[in-house]
Amino acid sequence: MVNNPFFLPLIGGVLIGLSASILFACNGRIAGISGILGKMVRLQPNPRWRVLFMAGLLSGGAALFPLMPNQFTVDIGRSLLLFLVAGVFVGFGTQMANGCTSGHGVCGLSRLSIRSLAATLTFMGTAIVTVFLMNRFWEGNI
Amino acid sequence: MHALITYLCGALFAAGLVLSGMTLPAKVVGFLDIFGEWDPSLAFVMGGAVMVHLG
Repeated sequence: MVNNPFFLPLIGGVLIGLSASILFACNGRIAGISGILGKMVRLQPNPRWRVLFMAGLLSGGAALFPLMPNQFTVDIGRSLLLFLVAGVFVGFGTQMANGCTSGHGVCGLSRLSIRSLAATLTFMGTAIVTVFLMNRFWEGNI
Repeated sequence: MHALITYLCGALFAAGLVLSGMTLPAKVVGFLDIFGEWDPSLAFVMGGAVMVHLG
């Protein structure tokens, strides 16, 4: 069962769902990572829950890094510049759409929000087209 | 207590991302590459999360 390629993704998804559910029950807040991060980098005063959640997210990742370093392999043969450009696109898009994979894809879909369904279908569709075009027409040389 | 739970929610979220493979760009690209060598496993992340959060 552990060797099933779908097992760990499912367990990971369950943990993410649990985290979002507990955060909502405890604080009445949506676990939208782009929204949380977006508000934090604006340097305005942040409510305590936001700072605590982000601290948990970062330190959780840092604690897991030495335990399973293979899960942190970010090299996909693309340049740092391309990562930076992609990051700006993601930042811009998620702020414009008021959410990302977590806020719309997990929390929004769970609340049966049409707006979140539209956002999820849009970013999934765009990403699929982008991967298709990049894989065929853009070798990892920039 | 409240603060600790909120902090642990963040850590739990991180564990979910790491275990599921959402931290691996190669895996994410594989999931999105439906016209190539499609790796559908990440669909189970969103599926599992929505299932738990919905319930």
